[in-house]
Amino acid sequence: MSRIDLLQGTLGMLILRALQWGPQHGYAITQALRAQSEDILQVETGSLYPALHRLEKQGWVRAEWRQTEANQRAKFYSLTAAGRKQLTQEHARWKQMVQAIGNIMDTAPAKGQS
Amino acid sequence: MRDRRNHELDEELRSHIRMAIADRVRQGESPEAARAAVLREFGSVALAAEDTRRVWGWQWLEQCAFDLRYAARSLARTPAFALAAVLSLATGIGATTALFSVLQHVAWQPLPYRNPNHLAIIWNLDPRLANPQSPASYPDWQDWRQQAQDFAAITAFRNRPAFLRSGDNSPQLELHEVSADFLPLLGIQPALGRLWRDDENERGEAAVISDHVWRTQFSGARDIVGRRIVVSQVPYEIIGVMPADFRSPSMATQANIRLSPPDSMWVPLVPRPVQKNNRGNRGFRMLARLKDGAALPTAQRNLSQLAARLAAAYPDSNKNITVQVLSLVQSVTGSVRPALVALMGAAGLFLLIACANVASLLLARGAARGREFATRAALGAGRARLVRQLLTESLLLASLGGTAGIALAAVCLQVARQAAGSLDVPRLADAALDVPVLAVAIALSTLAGLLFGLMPALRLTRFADRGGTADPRGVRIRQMLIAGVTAVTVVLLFSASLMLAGFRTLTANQDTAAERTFTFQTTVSGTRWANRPFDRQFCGTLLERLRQLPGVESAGLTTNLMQIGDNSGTVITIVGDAPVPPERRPMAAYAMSDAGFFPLAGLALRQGRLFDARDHNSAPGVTVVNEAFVRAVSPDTPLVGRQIRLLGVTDTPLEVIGVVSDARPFRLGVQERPRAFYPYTQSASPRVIAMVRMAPGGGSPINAVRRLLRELEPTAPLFEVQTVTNLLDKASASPRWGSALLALFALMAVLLATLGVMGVVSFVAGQRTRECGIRLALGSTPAAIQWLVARQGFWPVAAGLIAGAAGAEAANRAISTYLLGIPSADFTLLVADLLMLAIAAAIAVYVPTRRVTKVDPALTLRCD
Repeated sequence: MSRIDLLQGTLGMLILRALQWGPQHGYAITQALRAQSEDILQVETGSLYPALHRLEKQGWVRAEWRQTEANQRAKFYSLTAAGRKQLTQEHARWKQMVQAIGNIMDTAPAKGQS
Repeated sequence: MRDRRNHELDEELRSHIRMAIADRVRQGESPEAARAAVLREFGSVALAAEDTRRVWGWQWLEQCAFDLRYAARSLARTPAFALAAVLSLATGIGATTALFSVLQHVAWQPLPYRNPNHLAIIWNLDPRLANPQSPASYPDWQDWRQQAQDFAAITAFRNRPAFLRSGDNSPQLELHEVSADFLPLLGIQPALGRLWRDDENERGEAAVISDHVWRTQFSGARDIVGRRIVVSQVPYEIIGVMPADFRSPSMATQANIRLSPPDSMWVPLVPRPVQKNNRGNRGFRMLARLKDGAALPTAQRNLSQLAARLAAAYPDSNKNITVQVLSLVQSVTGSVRPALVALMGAAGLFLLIACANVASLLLARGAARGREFATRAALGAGRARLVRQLLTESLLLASLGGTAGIALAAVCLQVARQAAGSLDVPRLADAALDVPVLAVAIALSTLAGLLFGLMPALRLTRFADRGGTADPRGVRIRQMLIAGVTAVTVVLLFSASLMLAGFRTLTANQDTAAERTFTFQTTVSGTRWANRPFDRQFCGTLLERLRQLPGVESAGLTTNLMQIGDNSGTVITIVGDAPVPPERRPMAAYAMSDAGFFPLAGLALRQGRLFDARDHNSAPGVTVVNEAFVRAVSPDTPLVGRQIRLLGVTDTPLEVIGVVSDARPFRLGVQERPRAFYPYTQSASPRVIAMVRMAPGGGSPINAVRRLLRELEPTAPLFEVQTVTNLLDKASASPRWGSALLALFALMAVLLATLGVMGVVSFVAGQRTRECGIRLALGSTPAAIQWLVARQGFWPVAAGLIAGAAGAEAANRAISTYLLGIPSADFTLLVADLLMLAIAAAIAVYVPTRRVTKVDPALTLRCD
């Protein structure tokens, strides 16, 4: 299964989505994205952390140090109210875009163009 | 904060890696293999951390911190350079800042009155006077008041020293006679009590005292209002105390307006009939307030027209008399402002030289670091990045210099405040390092840093674009810098030597007896001595008893210590000469004296005789005049034996019996004016200044004088006790400080310029060592080689000297006009300065070039 590079600007949305079910640390987010995309999407750690910190700076996520189940210290990120709103917006926009791209890509060639 | 975040980021990334490894191990990989796989997958941890940090937006700051550390290290590697640069910058910034503070507080800060910008002083201008500014007469004042529409009020004031009678002492205070609307015009109310009522204005016997008098003479008594006091034999009732900081505009010398001394008292001005009726009797200073919306130039124009109408209506007294309206702040600080501006200009020029020198040093250092920059450029540093780093270095230098400069300025201002008492500079005691001054210091430092940093930075990094390691010598630029520095130094040096030469004339040939010559003043007005013929008796007795005191060598009396006192003048006419139109009649100052006064004041007899026993009360009136008088009145025909009239001084004509030399001026830019002296035996004044010269080792006569005076008249005050040396020092303190400062700037500038020339030439010498070696090997003579290198320093210095000579001419004109009052056509000074600089430059060129002649050709050719 070949992996696909993420579309520009979608990583933030994916992270927000991954955090929708509760606080997660960075590693868990990569694992979750990988699992949910059935191993197609591979998030580079080199992009993940800058993205996480950017989201934090914008106030969409909040970070705190906690213990993992394996009893290790890790930095957990959780959605803020603003982040939740942002996720809804981005999701809606994403759906529109998929729809639009799909419309273009899946339309049969116009008649008379054979 | 940043460290903590860095630490947290590290930990976050490490926890990520730990968990990834743990997962893999759980899936059955060996810990080593798991670790390797994770790290491979993760990529560069440092890069991830770097990218994340960039999100925080602190990268710029971090780079700055890096640049700063780098700059500090590279400066520390060349401590001599750093120290030289910081010290010269500190001196320039410190001096400019300190002088700015002085200028700001002395000349620019508004005066503490209501609407101070609307306050103005109105002068009469009398073309016959050496300094044409003169007070106004009562009738003129009244006409102005009624007819000048631009002023809300025109008030009158005058002031003189007076004495409070209080037990055995007679403390001196300044008595200000002011018109009723004077204090209200300033908008300041008394802190205690009130101002005058109308009836009190007319009698003039109600007084308002200053806070300082209240505290020191009356111990700050709360029941001060209503007390009765006697000041200079006149009774007053105290009706008010002014606030602590209040100082009114007052007269310092003839044409100088200052702020009143702390010990002051204000009483209503009650003009005497002779003043009310005589338009030529000009004794009142005018303080006016412009109406809202009225502009000074308009007010000046309208008042000039009014003065012209008065001159036409009263030609006898007002012909050619014009008016001048000056803002109060300009009147108060007018005389010191040009000097301060000149000094600040000098400090600014010095700072400029320091900047040029640092720039030149930076260029030399940069050339030596060419490889470093080329390497950094090759490794991917953009030009902007390199310029930024070089600028960081120069800004670091500038801020170090600025910090040291601010400390220096603080010290200078401390000294200035302490010297304020002896300097004739108003409000100098207020000068301080406050926020605006600090802002200026910081701005100056930054500006200096950019000034000396930007050019070398741009210059040194240019090669980076060319991508090679070509050597940016920048010799041309540094030659231009040298020329500029030399020119500025010429101007500074010449200005300083001009000032010093002017000052020398003041202090040259100072009489060694001045130190044992004491002066004091006293007055018997209001006592039984004040009327004829007792005033003559008082003077005679005082003189006689003074001469009898032990240790006294000689004594004399006068009413005016010429160069210091109030130099009021009067119109002179020569009896028997054709009448001269009033506006061309010469004027002279006049003073009472006795024969003993002339040698004490350093006035030598040139013609005729001094006063003696022949000039008694019933003998014909006589006068002794000075040489300036002869020049002004009768330059061609001998004056001794002629009769002259001093308008308003004596009723009968006086015969000129002698001519004495001019007094040496006490101030820069003051020329001796015509003076006439009359003997106390024929017309005595109740107020006298005595001069007593003690025999060498005679000590101070003051206690004996005090006893003597008390025996003669117990209420007579003794004041202004000083040695003539003190008087001279006081009078020349400001120009002395000014010229000393200027000379200091000039000397430091010469030093800097010399170092600058030396730096450039030795740099060129270093650059061309190989070339010189080759030339020597090919048969060139050492002298020719030396000239080859010396040329590089010679031309810019020569160009600088020529440009500087032109600039010096301009400086000469400015200094002559504003500071010395007399144009100096003396070019020997300029030539001497140029010569001195040329010699310094020759040494600066010669020393480094000697090195190239010692080059061993074989060695040079062999090396690398």
